[in-house]
Amino acid sequence: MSRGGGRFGGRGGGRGGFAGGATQPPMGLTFADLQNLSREATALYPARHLPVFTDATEDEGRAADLQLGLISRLKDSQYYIVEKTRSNGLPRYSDKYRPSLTSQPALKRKELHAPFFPSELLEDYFNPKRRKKTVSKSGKARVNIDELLAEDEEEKSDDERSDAGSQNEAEDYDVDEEDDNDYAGKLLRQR
Amino acid sequence: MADSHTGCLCTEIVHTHFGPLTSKVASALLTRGRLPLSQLVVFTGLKPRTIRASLISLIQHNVVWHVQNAGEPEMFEVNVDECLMRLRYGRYILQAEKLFGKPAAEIVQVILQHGKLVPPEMFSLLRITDPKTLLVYKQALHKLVAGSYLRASTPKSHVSPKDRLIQYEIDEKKKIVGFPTAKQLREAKEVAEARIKQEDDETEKVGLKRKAKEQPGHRNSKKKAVEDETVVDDEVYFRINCERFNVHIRNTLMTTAAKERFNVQAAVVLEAAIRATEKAQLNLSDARTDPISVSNVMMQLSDVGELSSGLAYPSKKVSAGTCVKDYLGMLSSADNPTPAGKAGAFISFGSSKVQVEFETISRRLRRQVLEAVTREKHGSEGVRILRLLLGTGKMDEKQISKVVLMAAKDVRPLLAAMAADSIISTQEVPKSADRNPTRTFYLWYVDLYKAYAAILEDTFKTLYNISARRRAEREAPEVKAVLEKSQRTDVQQDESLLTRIERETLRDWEAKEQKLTVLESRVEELVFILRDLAVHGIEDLD
Repeated sequence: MSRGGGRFGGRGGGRGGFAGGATQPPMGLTFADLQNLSREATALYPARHLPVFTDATEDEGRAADLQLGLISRLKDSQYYIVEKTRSNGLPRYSDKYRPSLTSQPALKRKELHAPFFPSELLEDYFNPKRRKKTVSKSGKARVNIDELLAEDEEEKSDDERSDAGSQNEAEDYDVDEEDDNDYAGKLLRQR
Repeated sequence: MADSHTGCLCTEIVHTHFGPLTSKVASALLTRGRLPLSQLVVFTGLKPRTIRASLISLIQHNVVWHVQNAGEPEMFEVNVDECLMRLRYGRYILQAEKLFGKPAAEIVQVILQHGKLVPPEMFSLLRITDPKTLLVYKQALHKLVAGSYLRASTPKSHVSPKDRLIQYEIDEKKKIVGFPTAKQLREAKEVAEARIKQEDDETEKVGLKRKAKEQPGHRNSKKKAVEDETVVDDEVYFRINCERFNVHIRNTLMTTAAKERFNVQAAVVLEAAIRATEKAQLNLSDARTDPISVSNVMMQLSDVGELSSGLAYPSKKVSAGTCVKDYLGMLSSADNPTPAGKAGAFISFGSSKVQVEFETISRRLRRQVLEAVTREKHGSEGVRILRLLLGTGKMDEKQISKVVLMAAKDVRPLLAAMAADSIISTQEVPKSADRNPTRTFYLWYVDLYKAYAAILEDTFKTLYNISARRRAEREAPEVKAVLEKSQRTDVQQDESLLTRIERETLRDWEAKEQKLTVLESRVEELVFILRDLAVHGIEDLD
């Protein structure tokens, strides 16, 4: 450090005092300060005054106990969702006393009121092997729009008698004469 | 969808209550908003069957809304408020016990455990067999329903209110013929909101139905009139009405505030005043109670003799009425009729009618939280600057240092530190047309919204840390081993199978768990003050 300081001082002195501002130590310290800096490690966090935890009043203690009781009962209930995993430890004598993997209760259909849940959700969970009758509707919707457009074009051409637009209908999609951004122009021309 | 800290906290709550798998589902919904099942599968990476089970569990406990609109699959959304209320369940059970006794507390407990239940299921889960206890529990249930502590759960309450509003607006807009004007759109929105309110009011009435049989004739005798009462409907699913319990938490907070400000007896008088109208206080949005007469307050006081010990009187014998009137005068800052005095009052006492001012007290409690946080972080000098800025609005740095009687070199770093904590903010007033920093005034002021939001965020982080700490302590190797051993069925029946050290570890762990939970409920009170009591609005009335 002192050698470094000396070197800096030499360079700084060579350039004539404070002309080389970039090599000055930061934060307004001088070289003497840097030399006198302590070499010990500083604490990772500054000293803090931590507030003292006052003891729980009776009501607070009771409320906390009730809350913890509720949480522990929920943990053993059917609402705590677990997945069955295979344990690959050796079988032990105490296994017969430990809560086994199947001891977590499961959701029962008769405890759940069907109108509150989406019917598909309940059906798929409690009846996983049922046949799915519905085809995806979104595909149909997409197809419908194209057909609708085609129908619309034909209807409009009948009503408004703008034959020029309807005859070029099939070609418009293939020909890229205009800009892709020119949608408004395209629509006007199609009409 | 919630901001990141609220989302983390809600995920942690779901983890504690419903397990790690369900918390993954909740976390996906909280970070990404409403999602259909297919996208949940993608984002959580869980098996669809597990996700379905988690969603069923969360819907049963009213944490998740679901809706199916035309053209999209079933969408699920997390109800953040309901999730945060889960931290208060212990207090709700205790409150029910204080109000209506142990049977009511057990009913509330079983409902909280299952989300929502019909009365026959409640009684069967509580394992009540003989008819005498059944009658006691039925009466407790009736009291809970009549006092709106339980409310009915309908299929509509499982749809998010925003979704309902949007759907009704669409329905109203469909009725508009031709091109809609701005006025028609506004009317459509108002009609939709009125429709939602009407449906909510109707749901409140569901739950109690009149008794089927009626006495033939006999309108004169009073006894017959009493028998024509309502009975709890056995086919309605009941869930907890958190708002009603929150009212009680608010009342406790206010009486504690009165106790700290004056003395115990003043708190007793305030409590009596609040209790006089407790039946009418259904939610937190009331700015003040209905007018109460002084005699009404005195009726609610049980021990009037004690009151005179709280005040110093020149003569020995003072009537109870004078005592109570003096306390009410104190609580209403009658000696300081200025706006500052009114802001420091607990009640408004005019023409012998008392009204407890909830809005004023809530505002004051929030301000005290802000000052306490500033004092912790920046010391009493920070509080001086904060109070100055709260009182006078926007001020320049030079003026602040003059008024606060501190050197500018002390004020400057404090202002910067407080601004970094979002307690105060700057308003730039440029002197020239270009915003040259050397030629603008920087006025400091307290932006209350920002300050409270920053503190609320910190509080959510703290709650998350407490819960994570509790989980980490539970998963420390020694504690985990002892807890697993204590789960064994033979150990549960016979405590002596645990060694002495194991029993000590278990006791230490239980003490730690209780301390952390008490700490959590204390921090949660802060959330209550900052979030739930802010229904009236945050800005000061200046």
